[in-house]
Amino acid sequence: MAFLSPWLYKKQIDKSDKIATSLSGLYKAAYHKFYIDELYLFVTKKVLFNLIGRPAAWFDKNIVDGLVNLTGNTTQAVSEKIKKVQSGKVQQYAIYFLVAVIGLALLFIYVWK
Amino acid sequence: MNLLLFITIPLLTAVAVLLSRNTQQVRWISLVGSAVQLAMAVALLFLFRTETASGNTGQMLFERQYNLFPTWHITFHLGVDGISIAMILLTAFVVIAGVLVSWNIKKMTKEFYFLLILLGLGAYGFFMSIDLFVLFFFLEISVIPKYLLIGIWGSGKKEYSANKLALMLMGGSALILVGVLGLYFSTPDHSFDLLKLSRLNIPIETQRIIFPLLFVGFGVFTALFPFHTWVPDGHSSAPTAGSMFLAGITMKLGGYGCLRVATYLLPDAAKEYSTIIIVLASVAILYGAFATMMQKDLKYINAYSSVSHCGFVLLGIGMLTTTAMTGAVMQMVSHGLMTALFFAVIGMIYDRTHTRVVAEMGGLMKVMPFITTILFIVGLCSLGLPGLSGFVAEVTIFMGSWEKPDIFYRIATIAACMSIVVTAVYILRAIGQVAMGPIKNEGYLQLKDATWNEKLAAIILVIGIVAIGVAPFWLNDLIRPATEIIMNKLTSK
Amino acid sequence: MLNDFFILMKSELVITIIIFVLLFIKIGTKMKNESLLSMVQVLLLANFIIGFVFNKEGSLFDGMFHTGSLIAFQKSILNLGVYLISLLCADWLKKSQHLSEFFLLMLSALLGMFFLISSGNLLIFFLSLELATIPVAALANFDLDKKISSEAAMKMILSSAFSSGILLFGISLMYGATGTISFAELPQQLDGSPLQVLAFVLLFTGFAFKLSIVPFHLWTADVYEGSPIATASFLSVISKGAVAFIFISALYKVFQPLHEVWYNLLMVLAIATMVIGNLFAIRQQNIKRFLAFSSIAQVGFILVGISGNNIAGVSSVVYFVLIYTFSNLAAFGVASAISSETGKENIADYRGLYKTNPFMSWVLALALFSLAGIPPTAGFFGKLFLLTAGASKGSYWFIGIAAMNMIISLYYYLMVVRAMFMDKNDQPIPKIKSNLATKFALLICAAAIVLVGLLSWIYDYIQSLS
Repeated sequence: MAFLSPWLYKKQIDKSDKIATSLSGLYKAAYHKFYIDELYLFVTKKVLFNLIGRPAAWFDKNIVDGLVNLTGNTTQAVSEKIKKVQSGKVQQYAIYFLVAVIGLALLFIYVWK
Repeated sequence: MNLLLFITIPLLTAVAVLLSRNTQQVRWISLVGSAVQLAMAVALLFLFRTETASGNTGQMLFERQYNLFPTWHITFHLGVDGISIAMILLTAFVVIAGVLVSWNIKKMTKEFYFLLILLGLGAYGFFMSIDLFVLFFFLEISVIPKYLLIGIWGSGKKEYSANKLALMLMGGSALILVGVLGLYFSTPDHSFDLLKLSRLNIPIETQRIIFPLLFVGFGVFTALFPFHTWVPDGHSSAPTAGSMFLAGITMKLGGYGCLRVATYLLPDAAKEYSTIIIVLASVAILYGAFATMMQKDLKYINAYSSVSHCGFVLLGIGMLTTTAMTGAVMQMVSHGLMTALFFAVIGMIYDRTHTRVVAEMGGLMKVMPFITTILFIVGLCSLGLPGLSGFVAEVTIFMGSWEKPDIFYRIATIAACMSIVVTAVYILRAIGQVAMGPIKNEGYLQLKDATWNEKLAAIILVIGIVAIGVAPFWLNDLIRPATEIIMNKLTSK
Repeated sequence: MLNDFFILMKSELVITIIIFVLLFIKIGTKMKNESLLSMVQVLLLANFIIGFVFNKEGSLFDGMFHTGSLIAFQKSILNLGVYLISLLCADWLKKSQHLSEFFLLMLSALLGMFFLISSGNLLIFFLSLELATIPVAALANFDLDKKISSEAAMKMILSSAFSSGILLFGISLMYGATGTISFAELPQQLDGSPLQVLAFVLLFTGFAFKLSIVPFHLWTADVYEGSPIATASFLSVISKGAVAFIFISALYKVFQPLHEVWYNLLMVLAIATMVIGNLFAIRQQNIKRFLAFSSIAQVGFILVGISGNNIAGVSSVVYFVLIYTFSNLAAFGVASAISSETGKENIADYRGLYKTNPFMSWVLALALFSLAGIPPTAGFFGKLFLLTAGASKGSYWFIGIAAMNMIISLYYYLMVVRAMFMDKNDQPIPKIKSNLATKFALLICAAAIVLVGLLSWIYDYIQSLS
């Protein structure tokens, strides 16, 4: 390197232009710093963020959280469905009472010894 | 040292707060009370060291036992070993920092400080209990204060988060309760006492049922995947001191429980389930880290990052080697201090800029040098810079995990190591954008730097972080004998 | 012999005397409400204190009536409950036109409950159960100007008549199957034959009706909503407590030979009761209906505790009923104070209560935490001991379901706490100027909620009695 640099600079500047055109591929790569920056940005933005990070955050917010909320909502929904039983009509209460008694009696005499 | 002091002093402080007449009294009483607790915790550390140095090799020191309910064989049995003392120290640090950071709360100050001190009391009691019933008692005491703290003084969707937190933590407690009752009845003479239970030979079939109940129950507190969803909303909606306590201490209650109750008492089941635990922990570590990258709100960043860091704790416990477990306890202490500090700083920033969204902030370093310096310290600790406590804890866990030659463990360790890179990405992005660069909002130029109480709180926590980071041997010597006892139980079978 | 009579029946005799005093006052003089109320309160307190002295084991009337120290303690708990009701609902009571009738009816029901706990055979059991039920139906109607109160009374009397019919059928079948009605002789005659099981199930439903066990609970919400709060609290706490006492003693002593049958029966019904109670409580907007369903869920827990067939089950149930008395009465007490002053009974109206009435909000919050089972309130210890007693049979699923139900119940209890402490209200309930007696009673209840659990000797004392 110590010999190359005086040779490149001491003489005229066009020497470097000739090298640039002849070694165009390598020159281009070096100019763009071997595309390391682009590679880095590609890996982080496209791969890490979009492919892994975004889905992870989405998964957490919607699926995992969703399951938790689902348990809460299910409880509310079941509660909504069965509220008709408490109808306010005493006749119906009496029927439920009787059915329950007979049902339990049958259950424990015949089925569950 | 009378361990009961850790219960009576906070209780007296809480009662004194209730009886005080104006806000000034409330604040100062709380400050004095928590300072006394900090002094006691440090004294406890030194007394413990003198005791062990003078040859006292008992498993638990400073034990106290009082008969509570003889019918149920419940005694008020307190005692500490290295792990407990480390956690008690952590609690003392976080409580006093929390008290200081909340100095300017104006709404219902009395109730706020009362609830905060009550939380501390619950934590102290939990770490000192040897009787499982009393342990459960202290675990449950903190549910309502947390609910009220988030619901009344919180921000954002606070009612939703408070409800979610209370119910999910209660769910974890329900599992723990069933597990504890299972343990109680698995012994011929029915005991809740941890030490008695540890000497028993519990049949493997029973262990297989009880271990998941206990581990998952405590795991809910430590953000075991997939039961971690209370963390992001809970931590973000809570007031600053609330978040500090939640992330700093509540999540450690779970880790302590997983180690001390689940793994210690049920070693055979621990070995059988360790594969699943390691998988779930690794998922939590990586998943938490990646989810953090996408967050735009500083508090959510810290919350998800806590999920990730607490995954390390579970990984260390799941690896079942002495070094890994010691690392897990260290990580509990380190992360506790660090996350408390992080939330404290976020609180300070929010008080001034009224935003937590990273994109809206910038160039704060010019305006608030102290706060941003602390922010940098916290960030560097989070990504494991040597010299700060995060590095010590994580390295210990990795060393302990690497001891196992099997390919599965190696993969898990490598995956966990990779998360450090991801952590670095999100931390440096977030902090860099907040602290450096051009000032986004002209109004920020008027902002003031930290006040005396905020500075004090930050310095206290930084002392803790640096002390562990620079001279970790005191913490290691403290914890290691205790984890060795746990390991002995695992290997003696 | 006469000595025995006075000592063993002291509580009943004192209550009878009070009833007659009230009767004479009603017929004779014209006493102002305040003085009448104070007099009754003093007398009830005196009976409570008497309940702790001169207790001995013994039976009277050829085994029809028996008592002992545990039974005396149970009676004291019920007595304390009525005393607290008379203090807590003082505002409403003072305004009532028929105060002496109110206490006549309530004390007659209480007398019935005393005999119920002390009953020694099936007939006395039935008789005292009726005495404990019918006056309460009249009490349910005490808000004479409200139609909903009459509706509650009608529903109550119709439902209890129906249930008594089935109960009586069960009693006669039991007599037919075993040849005896005496509790002392019954266990030897039980051998699990189908007729006996049928009779037992029918008998069980008599208990189930009074305890509001699902699916026999349908009358509960409507009756609690329509009755004045004093009656609702009586039904919820005293009535349930008394029946719980006799229930556990009947199952453990008299029907012990059938314990496999009732263990399974209790398991099924406990789960149904807890789940249904919780599911309905989530929806409620009226505080009385809310507390009704919450008590149904609490009874589910008691059933869990009883099912363990554990010696410690008896003391756990008694302990729990004591704590439940304080917690539920405190909740009803706050509701009563608010209702008698403003007439508001919806949870939505409780929003922002903390700003205007901090003391009442804290008491109600404390009571709800105790009902939910949160430490350090006594409710935690009560529920935990029940669960431990129930877990002794070793069924993880059963206890797991019970523990899960604690989560659901926490949700709806927190709903009320949230309304009081966190929600905003443009027109919050103004500062309630309540009676000194009410404040005193609320303070006692609050103190008891906090202390009864932590003072562990209270539980040991109960344990020693059983």
